[in-house]
Amino acid sequence: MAAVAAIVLFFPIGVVAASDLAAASRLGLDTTQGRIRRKKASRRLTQAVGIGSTIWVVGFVALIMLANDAALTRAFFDVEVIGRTLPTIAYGFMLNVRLFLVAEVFILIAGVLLALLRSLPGRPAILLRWLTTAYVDVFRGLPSILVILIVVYGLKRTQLPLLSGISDYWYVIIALTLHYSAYTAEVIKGGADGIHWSQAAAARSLGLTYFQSMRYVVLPQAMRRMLAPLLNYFIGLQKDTSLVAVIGLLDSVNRANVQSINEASLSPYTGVALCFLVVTIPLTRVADWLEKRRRRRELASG
Amino acid sequence: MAFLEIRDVHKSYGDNAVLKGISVDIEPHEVVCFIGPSGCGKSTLLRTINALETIDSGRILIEGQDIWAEDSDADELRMKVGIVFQQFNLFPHMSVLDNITLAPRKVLRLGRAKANELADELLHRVRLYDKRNEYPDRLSGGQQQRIAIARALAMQPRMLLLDEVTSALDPEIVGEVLALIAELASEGMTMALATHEMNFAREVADRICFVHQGRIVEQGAPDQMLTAPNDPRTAQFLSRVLAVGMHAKARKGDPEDIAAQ
Repeated sequence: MAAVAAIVLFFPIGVVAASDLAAASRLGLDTTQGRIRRKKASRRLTQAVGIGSTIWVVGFVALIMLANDAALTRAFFDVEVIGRTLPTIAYGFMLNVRLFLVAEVFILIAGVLLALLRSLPGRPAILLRWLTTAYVDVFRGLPSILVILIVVYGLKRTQLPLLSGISDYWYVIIALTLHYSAYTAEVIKGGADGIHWSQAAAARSLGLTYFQSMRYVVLPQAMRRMLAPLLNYFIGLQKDTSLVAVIGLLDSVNRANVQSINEASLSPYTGVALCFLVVTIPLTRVADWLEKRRRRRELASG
Repeated sequence: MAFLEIRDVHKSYGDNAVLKGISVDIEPHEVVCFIGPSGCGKSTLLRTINALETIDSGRILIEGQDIWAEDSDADELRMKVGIVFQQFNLFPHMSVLDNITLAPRKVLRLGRAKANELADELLHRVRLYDKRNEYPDRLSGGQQQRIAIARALAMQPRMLLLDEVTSALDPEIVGEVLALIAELASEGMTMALATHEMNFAREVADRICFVHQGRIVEQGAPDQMLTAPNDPRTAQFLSRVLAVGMHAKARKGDPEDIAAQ
């Protein structure tokens, strides 16, 4: 089976692997020579599959790019158009970055608060726990675009003094905060739950209040295991800032909409893609690195 | 008046009744040891005194004040009673100094300098001043436990609860912790200990309570309790732990004990 796959994917090495396999079964696995051939074969199989899949993937991508007289390439990868529209798109992308940074501050504050209220101990806090749980359930369950639409078009209609007079920019901040603070609260609560209860017990026994023991003892220790998942949600948030295009804010996506009509080309969207990748790929790498470091440290401390 | 009064305290976890009507008084400056098999409820009892565990019924009074009464502040009352745990429970992300000063700074609102002064004094007392800037994972179990005691003392409690504080320690370093506890006892600290160290209990305790299946079966002066218990369950428990203790000592090659056999 594996030999067939190897031959189909990459003929030259696949054939050698297959002959090694045949030799191994001829010699038998109870001989040293047989086992050596078998090991060689398995190494070559992996190699063949690796080289083969790379060639096939590259080939398939090339096919897509060149098919139908390179229609896709001409639409999305017109270098001239990308170069011409990139400045205005990059300018729009600044709005995406600004939304991300400002919302993030509110999200972290709200997330910590929600997490603390959700794990508040004791019977008197039962309603608070219930309320925050309901909040988290609802906003984790809704698509973020729906939250943005409801907040932007809904709050305006209330005509309430503080809520109806602000700009769309701030409505979006509110919507993103509502949505992402629910996720953040879950991550923070999960991190705090992972710290053994005896740490909180020690803190409480010294006279610290619930909030003090969370602030000084539990959350600092939970921080390490919260970082990577939090960063992953931040990356999601960064991408979700592009949803403001639906309510007409001039972010990178909306500017690309305009430019693609002006230029009669889809290449401006490639500029948007480049902008996002420049931010999200390094963040993803950092998240992975943090996670790896945490695992290593946990192993080290036994 | 007794410093601590425990009146008919019941506590269960689901169907599992852990405390089935415990009543005991502890006088100021008294040292009381709770002994008994694992799971008998002695550790739970200590934790209820510190309000770390709620109780199902009964009353716990500290200096005459019910810790669970509507008009009393559990945080305020638990500050009068410090607790030291079997697993030390030092804060691993803080230096030794910060471990000790955290509560004085945040609860008693002492300034940094004042709190450090207090901590240094305690560190001298537990003979670990040179470790003040270390992190807990760099200390031995015995050193960690002495720091935990210093941390509890930093809140200037009137009473100390010691929950099997030597059970997680290697035999050869149990001594340094017990010596510190004996010192505190001789200075007049009111203490309640849950312990398996019978010889130590005999040495420091004013009174020993034998706890069995959530009840105090028998209590009395150490000598009488350990040598001539009245209740057969106490006798059975003692014969078992003392036999094990002797066995362990013999294996370690304590010449005195081997000679005594």
